[in-house]
Amino acid sequence: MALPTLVKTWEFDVNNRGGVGLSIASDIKKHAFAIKEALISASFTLPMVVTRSSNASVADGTDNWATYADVVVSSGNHSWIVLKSQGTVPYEICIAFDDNTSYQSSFFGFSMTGGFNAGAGGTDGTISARPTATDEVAVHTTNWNWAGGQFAAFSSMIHVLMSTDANTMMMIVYINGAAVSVIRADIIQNPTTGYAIGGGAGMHFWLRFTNDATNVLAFSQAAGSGNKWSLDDVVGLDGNVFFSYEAIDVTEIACIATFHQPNAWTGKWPFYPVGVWTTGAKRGRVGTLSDIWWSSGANAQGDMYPAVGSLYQFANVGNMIIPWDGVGPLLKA
Amino acid sequence: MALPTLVKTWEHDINNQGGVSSGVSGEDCARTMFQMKDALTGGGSAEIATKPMLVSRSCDSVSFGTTDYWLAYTNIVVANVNHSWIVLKSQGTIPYEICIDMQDNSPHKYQLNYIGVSMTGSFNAGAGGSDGSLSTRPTAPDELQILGTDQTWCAGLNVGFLSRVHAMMSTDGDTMMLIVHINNVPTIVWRFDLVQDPITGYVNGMHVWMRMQISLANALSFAELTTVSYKWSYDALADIRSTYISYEAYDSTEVACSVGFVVANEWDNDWPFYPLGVWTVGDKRGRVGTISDLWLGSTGTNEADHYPDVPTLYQFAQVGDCIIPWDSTNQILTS
Repeated sequence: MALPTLVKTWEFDVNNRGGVGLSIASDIKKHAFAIKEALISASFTLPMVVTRSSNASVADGTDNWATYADVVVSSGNHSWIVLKSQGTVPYEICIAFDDNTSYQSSFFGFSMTGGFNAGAGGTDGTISARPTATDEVAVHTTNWNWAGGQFAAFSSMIHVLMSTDANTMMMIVYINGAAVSVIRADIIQNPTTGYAIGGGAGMHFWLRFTNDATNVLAFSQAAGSGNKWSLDDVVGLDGNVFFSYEAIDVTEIACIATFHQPNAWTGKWPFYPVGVWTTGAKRGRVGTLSDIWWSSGANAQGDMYPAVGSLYQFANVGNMIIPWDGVGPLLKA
Repeated sequence: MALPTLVKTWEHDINNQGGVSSGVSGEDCARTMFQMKDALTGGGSAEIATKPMLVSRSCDSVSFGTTDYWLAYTNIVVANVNHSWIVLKSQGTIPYEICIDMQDNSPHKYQLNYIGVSMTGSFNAGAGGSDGSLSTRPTAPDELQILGTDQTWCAGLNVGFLSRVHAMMSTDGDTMMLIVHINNVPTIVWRFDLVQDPITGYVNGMHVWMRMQISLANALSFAELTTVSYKWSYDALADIRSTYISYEAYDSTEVACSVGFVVANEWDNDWPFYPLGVWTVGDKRGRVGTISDLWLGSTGTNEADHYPDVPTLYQFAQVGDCIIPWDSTNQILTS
């Protein structure tokens, strides 16, 4: 097929080196710091902002992570950070490193109201305790081997793309060549009537940092409901969300799973749209994700599209395709 | 969801009574077949007026030639020797022909001998086939057989059944659908689609779906719609390929949304209309386009449901697990 037309205007901060394969203790620090730096990148019109942070010495409403050395993993005073979206939904992501190892995390969670502070009914946090939010969702908690289950030195690459309206964001983390972490936030496109936040559409949110080498963007992982949420005015936050895709045959086979070659008519690899369905308090299709597609199961991590002309417009990550910066290939380690 | 916007302008010839529960063996079959021919060719009330199918050749067992000898169901003579046959031709972009041969080699007098298609409209000697005779149907060099010898084509029934015949044709002649309900079950479907949104390289591609159940089984169920059987693609390369009709599914366990969601969408309270894609397999594998104005409905809906409930009724009808445009006037009848 012809390359798809993008719905959003995207900005990129990709191929950021995190872990460098030196030691688990330093690689974890560099990895966490690179994630934060990419999310608040000056490359973005509306980057995420640090609303609160701790470097184990200072905890307040500023960014105290000035270098990777400010990421302190400890069961005593330790580092944490709260990152806030500047999009329509002011969600916050909180990451904390309260652990007696040098590499585990104690909390990956989010607040859809941006409530990680005392003013919103939560707590502000201290150098020994992360902030809390009244509506917080704890995704990964105590003793979580959040860097893809790494116990030893590793190499990592962090990629972030942000729409200029900040309503769609994606972060993908590769560790030793595997896509082990994803954050994706989408104000839903083509929303079904009734699926709304305020005057706009509802939101889909996807956050997962595996504690093993599982490819979080593989079809078997991405199509399932785990680590995905829907937010709207009627149901509120609902953790029963699935991605949809095109399938064939009475045995219900995903096209992605059974068509392992380019379309023989065009010679092009397919881009399959992604729908969003809720199955909790309200069941049904709510809309689509913008500018992310299923790819063929035969495509490799880091494949780039197109192969000729203006290169690097799209990148294959797991079994999905995302817009890319048009500058260079996706690096995985 | 909001009702879909139609791609085509449709004409309907629907609710035609075929079988009348006759006590005469074979009569209901003949009545049904006659209504199928009549609806597709704009006979009777000529509701398909713009580009109905044409009778290019026919035989009533007494006469044969390039005219329509099927003027009443009694002209459909099922026999082993001289017997009836007919060739219907499309006026769309692809001049396909459908040949129906009512020769019955058995003493039943309700079976048929052949239903097939020539995508080039070649059921005649001039195109390299044969013109047929009183005792032999025409042939085409590219003919594709759908049903063969001694087929009990009316859901396996030969007497005492009710049927309704529904035909719809786009005004450009490029999309046609025929559905026959027998005793309330849609057992026959013919669907020809010049594929919409064709991909590069798939030129004048047509999708063909012809299913005639030989038992009282739903020809438009999810299983029938989605199986590779009874579906073909024809394109400018003049090749016939098997096809799949695609649909939306969810979850890593690969569940069709129409199967997994058996209630109306709880966000807008509307029943879903799932679009359908077309995929070819074989030497050319891939998605080639979409089917226009045919949708997969939820398997939680009922046969002959209509959409919407208000205010202009009967715009769409549920047949099997599919949804089709309807005439906005009449309720679908199924017996």
